[in-house]
Amino acid sequence: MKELFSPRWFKSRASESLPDEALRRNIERATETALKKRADVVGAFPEWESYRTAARAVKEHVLENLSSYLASFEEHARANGSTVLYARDGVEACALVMDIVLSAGTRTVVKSKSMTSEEIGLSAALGRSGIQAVETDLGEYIVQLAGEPPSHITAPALHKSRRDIGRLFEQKLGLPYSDEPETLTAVARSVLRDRFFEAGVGISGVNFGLADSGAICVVENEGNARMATTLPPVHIALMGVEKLLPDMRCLALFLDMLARSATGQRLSSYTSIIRGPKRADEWDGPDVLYIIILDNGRTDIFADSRFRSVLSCIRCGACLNVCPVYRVVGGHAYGSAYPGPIGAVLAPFFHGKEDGRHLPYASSLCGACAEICPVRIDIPRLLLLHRGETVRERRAPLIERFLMKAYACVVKRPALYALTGHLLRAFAPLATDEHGLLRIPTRAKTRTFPAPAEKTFREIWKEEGIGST
Amino acid sequence: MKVSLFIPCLTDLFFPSTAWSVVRVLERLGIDVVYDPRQTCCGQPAFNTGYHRDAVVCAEHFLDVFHEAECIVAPSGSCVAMIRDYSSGMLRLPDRYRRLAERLKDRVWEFTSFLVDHLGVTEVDAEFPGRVALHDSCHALRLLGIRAQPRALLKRVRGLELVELGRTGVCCGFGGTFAVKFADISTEIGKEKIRDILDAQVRTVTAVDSSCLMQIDGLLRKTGSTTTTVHIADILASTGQP
Amino acid sequence: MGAREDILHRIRSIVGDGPGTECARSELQEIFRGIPIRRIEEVIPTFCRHVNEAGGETSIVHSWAEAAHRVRDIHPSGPVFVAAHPEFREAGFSSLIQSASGRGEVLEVPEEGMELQVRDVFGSVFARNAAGVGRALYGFADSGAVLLVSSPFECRSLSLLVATHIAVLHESAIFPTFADAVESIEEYVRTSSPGALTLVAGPSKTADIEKVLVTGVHGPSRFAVVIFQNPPLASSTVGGGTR
Repeated sequence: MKELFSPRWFKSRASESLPDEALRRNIERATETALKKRADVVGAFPEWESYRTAARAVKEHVLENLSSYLASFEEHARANGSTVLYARDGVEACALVMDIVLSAGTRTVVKSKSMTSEEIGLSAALGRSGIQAVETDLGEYIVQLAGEPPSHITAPALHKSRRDIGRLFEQKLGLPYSDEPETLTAVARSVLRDRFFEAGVGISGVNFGLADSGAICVVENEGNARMATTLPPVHIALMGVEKLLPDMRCLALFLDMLARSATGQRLSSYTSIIRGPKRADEWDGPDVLYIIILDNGRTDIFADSRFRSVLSCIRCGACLNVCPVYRVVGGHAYGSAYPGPIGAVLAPFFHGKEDGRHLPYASSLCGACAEICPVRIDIPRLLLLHRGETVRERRAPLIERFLMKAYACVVKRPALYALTGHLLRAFAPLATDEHGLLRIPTRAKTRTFPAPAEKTFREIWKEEGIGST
Repeated sequence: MKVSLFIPCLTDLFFPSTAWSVVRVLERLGIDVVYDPRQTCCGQPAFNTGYHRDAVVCAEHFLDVFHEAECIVAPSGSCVAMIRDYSSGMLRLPDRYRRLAERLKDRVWEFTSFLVDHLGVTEVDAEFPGRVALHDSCHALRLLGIRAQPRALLKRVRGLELVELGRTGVCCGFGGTFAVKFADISTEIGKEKIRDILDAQVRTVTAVDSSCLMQIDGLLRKTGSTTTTVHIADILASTGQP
Repeated sequence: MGAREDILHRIRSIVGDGPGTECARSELQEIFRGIPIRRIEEVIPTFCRHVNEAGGETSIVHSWAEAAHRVRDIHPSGPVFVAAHPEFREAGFSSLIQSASGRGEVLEVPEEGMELQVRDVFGSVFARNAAGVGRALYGFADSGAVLLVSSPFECRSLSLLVATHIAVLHESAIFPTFADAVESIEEYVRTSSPGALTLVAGPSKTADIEKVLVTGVHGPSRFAVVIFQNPPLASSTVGGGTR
């Protein structure tokens, strides 16, 4: 299964998950709940549209000035006592983490939810060196117990029902079966509480980095990120290089949007603004804070101005909730840390153009993602750009290329176009069933397709002989 | 006023009666309708599949045929959105064509939007009895902002009871070549739509795009439901006589 | 080339050094001019409503004695950890809580010359049924959140490793929105330089299992704000001010 976890196998994985009725209902329940709550809080926020515009403008502004914001962030973070490190890719980032963990002399690491760590496969890398990285977000903990990757950016275990989770806890933790969410949560709480105290290192992601103060901001609901960044003596924060914001005023803007978009809350339960390691006269907090700034393909995206807007993404997951494709195939089918529409845009960058080329096609281009995106990323347009690249680089299927050539040849020749229509109509009876429907193998199982009409409109128009120009 | 019809390939080939319905409604409103048989396709199938150079060929041809038209009306939101997008820079049109596209952009209309937004008409003297659900076609809805227009028109149709689907604005799963490339996924998305339609217990489902209706119809027939699909132009052209 | 230089070089090769700080600042100003100022009617009632909607509780008190009783109403049995704020001490807040009806020890944390590490106190079984009573610097009506700051007088664990977190907040420190408080927060940070600031909106919660809301996942399962109307607390001394 691990080697199958690549967007290359989207189609076959999707065909496995499509018939799974239970999965479909789990996804539906989760996404509908999130969307409904979102609609309520956004509906009560009359300034929403102008906030979206401003949020996007801020993100673009940050990218335009990234050199200076990064320098400022680094300078202030160092002045606050944090250690700032850089990693070109996932391998480098994992190696940095490994070094820190080993020199901390610990075998247990607690992690709070971080998409960036999923992206670089951090837990697996640590595991290979005998270091146990314990996921502490309840959803992440559940999927880690199950040996699965998360299936949603903000709700990692949304594909599982309470019964699935009850059975999982029964099997893996040797506890009596219960499918009560309260009971299951209490179990996770008590198991993980000990881990927080044992761990020598806590790892978190970063939602926003503040350039003018070197602070990092971590947003969560459970309190596990606060624990992971407070209790272990060492805190490692993984931050994508695009996560910077100029200052706290900008942070206020984004905080207004993030939770509303993600979960339909006005604000998540906990928003930690961590300015550095614990102060000398403070009583708790980590002794050292490492901030690892990760590139991992981001500067490649940055260099291509057509795709730059995707770096504005704040990982709210709203585009997944609203995506008709995501809702029927589920997150695992995408074979990427980032599923759904945003994942489809990122796949060719994070998984290579060959493995990543299918996902941009796995969209009906309905545009619901662009409509809901808090930072107005025009996802369908970016998918179209990827498709264009795939064709330009001749990665598209041969038969499709041939058909499109034929199409292009026909459309600029009205006579040939008319003839094609005529021929289609003439040959249609050969492929038509008794209901006048086309027999097309791929569609016939579940859908029917109409046969062409007896005469095309242009033919009728001509015969009627009325006012052609 | 003179209207140049643009009849998209799908309508031309599979639903010519819908094209006639457009003609009938427009003529009923006293509008002079012309049809240039040199027209072919707007280029969307190529464009959406990534064949942007082939789409340029279509766009140039379209502009050659239509650049002098006073007003272009098409019974499809999706194709109109494509045409309005010619000048956006996604297609690398030569300067001359880009200028034509820029000038043409505001003269091309989706049928219901033309009636309501351009003509200011919501009453077309139509009769179509029964419960009718409107499916919002994605491109019309999100790229052209067409939501109120078809509803305003349908509400004035005699005998017609407009029913809102449980979830509005959700894709039918067609998506052009997506329906072929990912037939299974497209079907499953469509089935979710069908659930909403069956729940609504309507006689007819309508939309501003034939492509969505083709997808919906294809799935409805497999369920054995008696609900049928009818393009909004056909409803508006209908006078209640069989 | 090292990773740092490599990444910085790549970025510089794409956008250069940027147009400079002044220019950047005015560009940001321009962006913010484009958004309307959010107006929140009836700040205090809105704050209370939003705290409740986030799963928390609110009450308004007028004296330390009343506040102490309120703490015991919320947490009638089990230990109470009280932050060592000078103004709590001055008011004898922990003694007042002690003398209010209720069972369970009242401890000031951190204590002067505390032998035990804070984490040992909060890691003990003793803490699992405890309430932590601390201060909130500000409150925000729009979100129903309060802002906590770490300080020599209040450790982070006090609001995290307890069953019930009670934050004492002065009414006049409630802003309409977080954005409205940014300048005040920045001023506070300049003078007191806390290690961490935390916005808290309601108790610890999750909906990871079938979207069923469960509180008290890792952090407190109860969250209460005690709003002090009189006498006023000097908000500038929340974190102690002098360091």
